[in-house]
Amino acid sequence: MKLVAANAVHPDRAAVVVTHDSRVFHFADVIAHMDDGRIVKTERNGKREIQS
Amino acid sequence: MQENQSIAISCRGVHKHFGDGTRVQALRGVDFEARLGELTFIVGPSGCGKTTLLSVITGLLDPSDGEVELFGSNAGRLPANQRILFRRENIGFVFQQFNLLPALTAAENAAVPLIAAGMKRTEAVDRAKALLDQLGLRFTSRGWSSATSRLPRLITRPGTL
Repeated sequence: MKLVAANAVHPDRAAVVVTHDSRVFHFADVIAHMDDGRIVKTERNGKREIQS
Repeated sequence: MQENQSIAISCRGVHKHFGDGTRVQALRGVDFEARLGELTFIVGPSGCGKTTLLSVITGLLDPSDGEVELFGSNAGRLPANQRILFRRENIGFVFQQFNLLPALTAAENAAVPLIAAGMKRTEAVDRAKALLDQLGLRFTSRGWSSATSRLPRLITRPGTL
């Protein structure tokens, strides 16, 4: 996940990760929560961990 | 950059069902956006529709209803051959499984998308090696890692990963 967060995120690219592993949620800028086929909540993570 | 220009992926009212009769409703009207320069997570319990949504976004599955746009284009309306090209040029996948070809070196594995896009093999492998170096992953043998499996998806510099 560190490699993806450090290298995949780019001003000309949208990176989307599908996971249910809450241990990596801190890498996200935005978290869209799904349940039963719907997006039930979308939250912006102001404390995204940026790896170099 | 204007607000709407930063939207790379847009889903509106997306439904997806499988089967007839006692069909499974995997997506029930999803509205979703992902913006350029951002890392967006889709999270939720197993079976909630995460992978189905990603498959619909990337064109691996057709939505049963609703609109999916990537960079303002609805790839689902393109003829099949153009759709494949659109996906190759604009979308990169990183799978949880490695999906590497065991007969190839790490650099050759990373070069596969470039070769598929028409680049000469030597040039493609050289670019792959440069990317391996850039990421601090020097492989000279047929060994690889999960990190290597991500390279084929980064090397074509897709707009969506």
